[in-house]
Amino acid sequence: MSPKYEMVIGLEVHAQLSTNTKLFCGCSTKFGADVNTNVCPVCLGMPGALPVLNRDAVTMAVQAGVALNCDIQHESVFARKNYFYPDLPKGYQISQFELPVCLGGSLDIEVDGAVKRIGITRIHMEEDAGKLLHQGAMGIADSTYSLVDLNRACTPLIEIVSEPDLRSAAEARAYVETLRQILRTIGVNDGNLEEGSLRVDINISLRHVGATQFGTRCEVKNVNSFRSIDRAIASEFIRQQEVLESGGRIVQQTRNYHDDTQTTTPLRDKEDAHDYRYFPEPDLLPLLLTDERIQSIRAAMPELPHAICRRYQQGLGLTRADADILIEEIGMRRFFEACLACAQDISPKEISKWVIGDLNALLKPKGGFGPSLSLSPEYFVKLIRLISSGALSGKMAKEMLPQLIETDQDPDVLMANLGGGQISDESTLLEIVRKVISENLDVVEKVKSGKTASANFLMGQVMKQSQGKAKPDLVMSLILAEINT
Amino acid sequence: MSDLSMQDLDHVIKLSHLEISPSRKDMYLKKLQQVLGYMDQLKRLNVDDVKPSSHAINQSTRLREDVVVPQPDLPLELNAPQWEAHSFRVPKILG
Repeated sequence: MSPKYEMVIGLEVHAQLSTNTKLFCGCSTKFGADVNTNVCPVCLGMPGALPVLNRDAVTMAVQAGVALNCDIQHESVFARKNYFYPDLPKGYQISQFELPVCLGGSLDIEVDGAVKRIGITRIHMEEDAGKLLHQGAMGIADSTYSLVDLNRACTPLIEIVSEPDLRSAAEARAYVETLRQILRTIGVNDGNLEEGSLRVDINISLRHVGATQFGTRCEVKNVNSFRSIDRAIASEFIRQQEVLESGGRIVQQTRNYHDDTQTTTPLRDKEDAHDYRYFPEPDLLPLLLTDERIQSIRAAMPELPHAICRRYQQGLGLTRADADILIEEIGMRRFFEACLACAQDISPKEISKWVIGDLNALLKPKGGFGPSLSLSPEYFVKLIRLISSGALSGKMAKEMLPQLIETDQDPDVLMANLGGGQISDESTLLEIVRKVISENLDVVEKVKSGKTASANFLMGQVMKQSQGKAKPDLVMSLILAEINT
Repeated sequence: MSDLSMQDLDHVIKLSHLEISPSRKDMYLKKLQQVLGYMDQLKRLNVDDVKPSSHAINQSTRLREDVVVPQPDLPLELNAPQWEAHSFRVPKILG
């Protein structure tokens, strides 16, 4: 049976901008500080304290707009959004309403190999609210009172509003994943859904398949993982379908998603915009951006994920899978790029193999490619160079790697400390090969009679006598040459 | 006078978490209708050719560099009707 209803989804994504300070004051935005310590008269909403806009927050909002193909507005205006809630010290949130900083963009998503263009309605800047810690119960519903922490109040956010172009949970998820990757790659957001630096509100409505009119929508909040995006949409689809099938009608409201029960419950009846009594923020003049300023931000834009992906595949010959790993792991990619810069003589593929493989595996338990990594790209590249020149075997390099990470010493020095590198000198190896042959004449006979696999035994003996340093392919050719003469 | 209805008034009362006794609702509705009536007078002005302006000064807002300014230890508890665990304590939110 073909489905009766189609879902129509639009997403509002709140992304915390990666600034050092808040949107309108110099308080730190660092996550995890003691409660109510990153606060000042401005973000506490004290009478008379005036907001001053953060320059880097503006730059980042414009960068996001450029990345999402938006029209950057020469004039945008901050507005007061009035509502009362205990996490909002001023009784209003400074946001943008009629004139946001970016309008009309698009984002291409890929689902099952097909590309679909999703419209971006707008991007506006706003301040975050504080954080409520509900006491006496797990959630807000049964709690007896709440504690307010205002460290997060006034943290800079951009809200990215999509057109209602999404038609399935898979598309919604792909949209958030693609958006997250872009924002992380250009360095405006850290992409952490669990810590709340990226928050997704889902607007969802149902309509009969083939209908052109939209149904009444509900907004689902509290979706804080990719898995819960899928689940929240699935549960809300079923709920709305049941209401419609039983002859009821959908009430426009904001609903809270609960991951434990995978259900949504009503939080409040959805306000319309006019209920917020928006008006221009009298404490802030309009934000005027000149052509020059927009151009300079455009010119300094970091490379976007799809461009990196294409360059890695077409320019460097990496696989799509390896390109995806490097794009996702920003620290790893920076290290890889630093290696490329000092390794014109080595194939990028070889470098990516070592970075994504052995180096990554060793670094994972130690905090990855973060700022604590002392290994210099130059020495790492030198190690790979020693392998390609034959001075080190792959096996020896793998053994040296942990020490290289630990000490960041010149690989030449480490190699000498370990008793030298790989033996690839033919005369030295020939001496060992001849000795092994003279000690194992019975095995030599077997090889001569056609049991060529027995040559591996001789090979093993040579490796043993050379303490694993003999160059294997050279040893094998020497053994065969000696036996056959 | 505006055409604000009793239904609209109920909606506003709900949004603002106010309790207004049924006997006083008529009075409030009438007063609100009067206030909004003034707005209707303004609406009669022809502003088709006037660009909406949010501010009287044609100048960009000042920008601040993104540098942390250390904050003094503020006596926050003096601004809190209830204070607990270095936090503002507020009454039950839902219900």
